[in-house]
Order: sequence, then structure tokens, then C-alpha cells
Amino acid sequence: MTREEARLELDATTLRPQDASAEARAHVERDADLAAWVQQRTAFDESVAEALVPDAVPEGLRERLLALEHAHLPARTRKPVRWMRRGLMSAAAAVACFWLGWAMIDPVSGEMPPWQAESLRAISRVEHGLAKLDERAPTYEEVRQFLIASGAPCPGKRLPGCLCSQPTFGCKRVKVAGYPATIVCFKLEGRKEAHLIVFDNATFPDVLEKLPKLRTSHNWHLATWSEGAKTYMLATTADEGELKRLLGLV
Amino acid sequence: MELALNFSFALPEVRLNTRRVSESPPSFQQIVDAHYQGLHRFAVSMCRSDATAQDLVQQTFLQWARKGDTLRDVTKVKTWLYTTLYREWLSMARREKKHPEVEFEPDLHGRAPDEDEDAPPRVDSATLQVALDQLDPNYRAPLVLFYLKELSYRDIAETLGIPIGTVMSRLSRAKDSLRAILSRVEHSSNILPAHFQTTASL
Repeated sequence: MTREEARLELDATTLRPQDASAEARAHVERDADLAAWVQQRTAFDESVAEALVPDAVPEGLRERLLALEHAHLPARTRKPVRWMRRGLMSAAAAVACFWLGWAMIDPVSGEMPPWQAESLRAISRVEHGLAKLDERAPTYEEVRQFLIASGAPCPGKRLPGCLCSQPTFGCKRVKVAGYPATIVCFKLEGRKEAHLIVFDNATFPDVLEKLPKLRTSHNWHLATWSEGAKTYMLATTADEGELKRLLGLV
Repeated sequence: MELALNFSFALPEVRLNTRRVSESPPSFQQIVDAHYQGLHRFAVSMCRSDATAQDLVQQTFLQWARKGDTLRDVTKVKTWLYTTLYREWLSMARREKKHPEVEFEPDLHGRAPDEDEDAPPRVDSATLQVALDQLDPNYRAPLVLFYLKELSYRDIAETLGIPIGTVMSRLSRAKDSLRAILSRVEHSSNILPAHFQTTASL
């Protein structure tokens, strides 16, 4: 090891001297100039490390992080044997190809008002992970707080049925038919999701005040309604019974 | 210009890991508690926005929640988390396009060690952040990781996806540069020459 190589290694380990090799340390022992340089460098590095960033962590960050644990699919509890694992991987690849192909299919079927068709396509992109959520939050209230702070269209404090109490993944801001809108993603049982898109001050003639209108499109079940200046569409690939349950119609 | 070193000698042995691959992984809460503060400090130092830093940390742990069980070696959890956060930051920086690629010019930024005999500049948190912001992100990232003291230079290399020799040379040059910038800030009341302002932070 040359002196220059030792110098670089010692420079990279001033704050973690245990990481330095014996060869580099030997250089220091027999080279007083290098030892003095390392000492000076260490003093500088320690002062920088102390000033770097205060150790204070934002309030509530830890709790928000811990809540993320439930935002993923449950882990496997048993490891399959090797041949099974290979088979499962092949099956997973086939399912992934199928899923990707399926995701490419337009979710809109039949005659549907343009704003609903566009909304459903936006929702489909979010559900399939083709559009990333702007904000992740585990509860409806936290999503609302983010939307209020960001000035995006925000659903009301109260929603029909049990929607408000459903756990959420987060939200995504989109533009549909020229109107800014927000998609709020809810977590349902059985790995299903429901998506609520909300518009502020949009004038869609085909929605009824406080009276959800149900329809289907391919495997999607939809409900549209309005309340005051807000227009809503709730869409899910869960069955119609689940949609009605969410809206309190059963 | 960047110095990539080829070492003709054997690098020190990797320390034996106390945990084995076959050990059961720590819980999600244990991992959050062990690493979220360090990750937050790293994120703040890189992006200079507390809100963005929190987003980066949350995104990192979300990735862990989704993909962490695919990591077979539990001793690599910390490196995995820092790597993920760094990649998230990189992709965000690319989207924002706020830090143009610039060629590092050591003559402008650094000084040779033999010349480095003056008293070290005084460092406070605010001045340090101003100085760090002047550094190209390619140099700021290893430097911040180094000063956080969470990772060895080997782990920094793994986290940033660059060779160990490159980490060493970048650290050395970045420290020289940082010291030079801090001295200038100290002596010239925060007036920096134009060539230090070629990079911007997020």
C-alpha cells in the first residue's frame, strides 16, 4: 500500500477508525507527517459531523412509519420447498403477464358520460400502479388534512355509508375533463380496493344530489352522486354488494 | 475529472457479521426504530426540505414493507434502506431536474493535503448546510453518509452503487472542497465565487 492509498483510506475512516486496515494504520505509526494530517483531518471531520443535522425528528413521523407496515400484503408464513418455489415463481410470472395484459384493457364499456369514462381510466391506472399516489396516509382523515393543506379537491368530512371509516392507501391528484379532481384510495377486505374521485364545482348533468346512481363497466362497479358543490364517483372491482355496503345502501 | 483507484493491495477483511442469513429477521417496528432517525437526517441533508425528507423516509419504509421480505441477508437491512432512500431521492431529483450534471473541478474546489495546514474553519449547522449545498450531489451524498457515521465506506460504496476506490477519492476531494468553501464563507461573509454555484440542491 502506498502512502497515498493509505491516506485515502485513513481519510475515509476518520470517524470510524475501526474500519481502517492494519496496513493503513501501520503507515500512520511510521509516518509522523501523515499521523499529524490524520489528526487534523479527524478534528475537522468531528466538528462537521457534530454540526451536520440536528437529531430532532418530526413529531409523528415514527407513528406514520409504523402504520406503513399494514400497507403491504401479508408475508408468507411458511417457505415452500425448492421445486414448489420454482413452480410458484413460474406461476407468478404467468399471472404477472396476464395481469399486465389485463391492465392494458380499457375499463370503460358501453356508453358512459365522458367525465365518468375518463375518471374510471384514471382510477384504473391508480389501481394497477401505473400512476403513483401523491400522498400515502392510512386514514381518511389524514388524507383529508393533506388535501385541505394542498388546496386540491377534497371530499366532505362525511360520506355515505361506512366510507369514512375504511382504511386508506392515500390519494392522487388528477385532471379529468378539464377539472382538477382527487382520487382517494380505500383498502377493502380480500385485497380489493375502492377509489373515490371527487370534483369541486364541476357541472355534470347526469348526477343526482345525494342519490348514488349505480352502474357497471367490465368488472368495475361504479356509483356517482353529488353533494353541494362536490361531485363524486366511487369505483371498485369488488362485487356490487360491497359497493352498496360502502355506500350504506344495504 | 474523477480519480478511480485500483488498489494493488488486499483491502481489509470484512468484519464478521454477528447475524446470520438464516436468523429470523427483525420486526418492522424494530427496523423503523433502529434506522428512521438516521435516514431522516440523510434525507434532510440531501434535499434541504423537511417535508420532502419525510416523504423520502416514508417512501423508503413503504418499499421495505412491500419488498423487505425478499432480502435474504438480515445484516444488509441498513444498507438496503439507505440505498432505497438514495434511489428515491435520485429519481425525485431527476424529475425535478434541479441539479444539472457538472464536471467536478478539483482545482476549483479542493486543496492538496500538504497545503491544508491552516486552522480548520469554524463550523455551525447553518453554514455547513450552505456549504453542502454548493457541492455536486455526486460528492454530497458520500460526504453526508460519511458524516452521519452510520455506514462504513464499504457500505457507502454499496449504497451509492460505486466502487470503493471511487468512494475514497470522492470523500477526500469533497472534504477538501467543503473545507475550502467553509473557509471562504468564514472569510468573505458568505460571498461565494460563481463557479461554486454551478450546482443546486433540491
